[in-house]
Amino acid sequence: MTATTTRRNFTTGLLLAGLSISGAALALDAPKERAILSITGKIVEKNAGDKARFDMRMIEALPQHSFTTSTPWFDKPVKFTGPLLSDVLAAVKASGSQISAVAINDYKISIPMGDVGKYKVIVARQIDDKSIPVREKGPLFVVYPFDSAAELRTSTYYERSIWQLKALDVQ
Amino acid sequence: MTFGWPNLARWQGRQWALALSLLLAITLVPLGWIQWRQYRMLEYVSVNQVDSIMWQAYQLEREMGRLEHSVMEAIQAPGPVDGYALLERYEVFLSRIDLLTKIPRRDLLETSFEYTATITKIEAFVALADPLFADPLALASNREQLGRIDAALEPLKPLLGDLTREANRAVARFVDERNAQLQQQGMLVIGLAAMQIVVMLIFVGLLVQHIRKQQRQYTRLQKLSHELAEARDQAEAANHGKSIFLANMSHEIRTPFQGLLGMLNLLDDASLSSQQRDYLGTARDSALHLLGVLNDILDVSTLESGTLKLSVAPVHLPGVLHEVDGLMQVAARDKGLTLNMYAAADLPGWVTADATRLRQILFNLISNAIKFTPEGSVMAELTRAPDGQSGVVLTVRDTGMGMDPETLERLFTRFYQADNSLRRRIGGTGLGLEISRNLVRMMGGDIEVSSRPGVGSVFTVRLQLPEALAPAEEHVSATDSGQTRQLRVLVAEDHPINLKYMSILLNKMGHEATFCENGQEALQLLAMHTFDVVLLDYHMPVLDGLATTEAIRRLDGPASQIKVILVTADVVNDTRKRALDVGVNEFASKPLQADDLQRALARCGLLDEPGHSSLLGALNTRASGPFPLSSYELPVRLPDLSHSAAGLVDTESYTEIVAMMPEDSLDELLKTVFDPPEGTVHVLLAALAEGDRSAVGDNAHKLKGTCMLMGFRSLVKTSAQIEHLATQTQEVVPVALGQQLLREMELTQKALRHFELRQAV
Repeated sequence: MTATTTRRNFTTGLLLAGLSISGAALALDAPKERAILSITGKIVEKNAGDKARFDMRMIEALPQHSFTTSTPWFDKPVKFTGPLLSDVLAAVKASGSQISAVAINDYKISIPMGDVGKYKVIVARQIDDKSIPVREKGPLFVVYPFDSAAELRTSTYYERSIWQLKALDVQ
Repeated sequence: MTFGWPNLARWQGRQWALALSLLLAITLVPLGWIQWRQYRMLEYVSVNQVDSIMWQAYQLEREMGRLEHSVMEAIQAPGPVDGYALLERYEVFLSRIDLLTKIPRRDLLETSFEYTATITKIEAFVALADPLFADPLALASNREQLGRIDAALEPLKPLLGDLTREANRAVARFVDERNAQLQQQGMLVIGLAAMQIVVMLIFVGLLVQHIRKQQRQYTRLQKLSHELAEARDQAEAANHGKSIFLANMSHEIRTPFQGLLGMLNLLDDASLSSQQRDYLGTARDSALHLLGVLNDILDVSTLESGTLKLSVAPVHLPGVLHEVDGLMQVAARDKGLTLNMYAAADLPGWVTADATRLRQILFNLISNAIKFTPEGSVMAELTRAPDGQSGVVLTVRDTGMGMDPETLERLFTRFYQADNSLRRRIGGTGLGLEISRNLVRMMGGDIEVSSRPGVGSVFTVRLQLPEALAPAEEHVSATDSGQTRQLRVLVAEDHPINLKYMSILLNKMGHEATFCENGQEALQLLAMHTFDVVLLDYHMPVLDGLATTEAIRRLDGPASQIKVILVTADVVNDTRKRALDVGVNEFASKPLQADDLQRALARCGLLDEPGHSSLLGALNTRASGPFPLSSYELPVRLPDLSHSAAGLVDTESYTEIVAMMPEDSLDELLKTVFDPPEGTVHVLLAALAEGDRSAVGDNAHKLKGTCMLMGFRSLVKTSAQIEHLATQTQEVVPVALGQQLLREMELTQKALRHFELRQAV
């Protein structure tokens, strides 16, 4: 009985190992265009060595969400559109407590994993239904729904809204 | 305080609350507004991240440095560099510009010269660089173009440095401004709070003043109430004096009466000629009437002084009604009226009430109704109060002359009589209704009256009479008189007539009486002889009844234990209480009657209870007493029968008939109407008794015809009524109508005899 169980476990482990190696390409395709976001750290799905890299098409392929909110950086409320940060992280099967986000301009901020489940945080790829060039804080912009809760309208959350996002490191 | 609010003392709770709310609103609203402003300000700062302007300016300067660095590196690099990396640096730099020019609080910088100059230069730079960056790969390998960009960047450096400093100053200005605002608002808050405190203090001051004023008023009121209490005590003392005077007067007036009535009663027993008997009757009636009037006056006095107390005991209501009916029926019959008295079937049998006073009310209302009703009927009805109310309702309805509203208004006032012209003819003290109403009110009820001139009046009396259990049957003594032995009676009585009366009375009762004139003598006699009982008059010279009793109780030996019966006409309850306190055993009222004395003796344990049934005993101790409690209790005295004869017989018609007919024919005719058993009246009555409607109708019709011919007015009226009921309606013909018919027949016959008498004269 015990011997059988052990053998089965061993077989399952082997099988899983095989799957994860060969299934990497299946679960997360390699970017076909210029990669704009790379995710590292405690992730399962990878497509370039230690990293998971995303091009704009892959970002667009995820379920899209949008909301309109006012921010300190625009003089009027604007509409942000993009996948939920949680969906992006789910795509790479991330597990951890902290996400270290880095921008093109080398801005760096730490986002607690709790925020991702608690708020409808999106990785915006469009502002007012237009894609965002780098000079307008693009191409990716992490946005919290500031207008939905008073506690979000504080420096803590404004800091976490990182624009010109280029990399996420899950810890 | 002279605040222009002189009527502050009259402010009610609502006004105070309003003033306080207003005050709170005046001070709290600005405070709330300031707090709201501050909240908004903080939120604004937080949402717009105002202080980040400096950071943004610094970042712009820094990104320009990094761009310049990248361009310099590209120029100095030996091989081609990554054009896209260069473009990215450029784009990042550009993104920084928007963060200064498009943020919500860009106005903080826009006004400064540095900002305008710098932004213009940056825009010029962008205009130069944008076309070059359109092809980043070509740019990366073109040193000349890179050099141009570098050269264009160079003059921007000091400008951006200036901008950063300017941003720093702008933020500092903003912070200063905000601080100033906060300080200003803080001052305002302090000011408002101070104002609030001041107004509060004013209010507290006013309140304190108000309370002090109230306290002063309270003190004044207390003083006043004290004075009033003193005045009341004085008035009460005066009133007490008056009641004592009244009691004395009643004694003085009633003592001769006792003698008078007693003597008259004794005379009755003697053999007298019919004429003498008639004179005697008149004398007694007059005396009784006078006593009744006296009692009325006394009632009013005692009611007024508040000393009249109801002595309640279980009373048999239907019994009282029956008794009053018995007495009043005579008066009604004499006047040719129908008096119907009903006790409702659901009437409580026994109630707790003062039977004497209850009877007095009934007598008064019914005798009034009879007095003021020339013809027709009087109906008295005793019923339970309508649903949801306790007590009983007495309704006295008459078909009398009625009263107009003005008369009704003054009806219950003293000495008022509905019709002054009637006064001489009808008589009466005019106190009856006042007494009745006061008595009814004492019994927790009231009298209402409604009337229409010429139609009649209805008096409605509501009484709160608690139901009572029937008293247990008392043992009825075998002997009628209740007298079992001869008693030795000592009588102290100063009035010679009374003395004589009592002597005869006691003699008749079979007792042995010894007389003395005052308390002093009584004490002397008690010391020498043995007696069973002492009858003491309340008012006596030398030593009065109470003082004598006190003295007796102080004697040595068995004489001190002798039974004392106080004979008094005093109705003031006070007196009785004082008498019991000094040791009086029993009371007998003046004028002394055999029954009364008998009962008093029995209660002292000297005799068996007289042979009254317990029912009658409970009804009233003097239910059938010879003396009236009120003038209204007396049968109504009619001045002249002929007065109502006109209502009974139309003299003209009758005279004609008499003139036309031979005497025996007339007799024959009258016989067919009046004589039993064939007379129409009797046949009709028999039919009524059998309930044969058609026979009733026929005979009533026949009677009506004959009576119309003869001019018997009242009989015509009644028979027509019976006929109508029997033939035109389905209603049962009331038995009362039969009785009325019978009475009218008797009266008509009486009137005819009177008529013949006059004709003969």
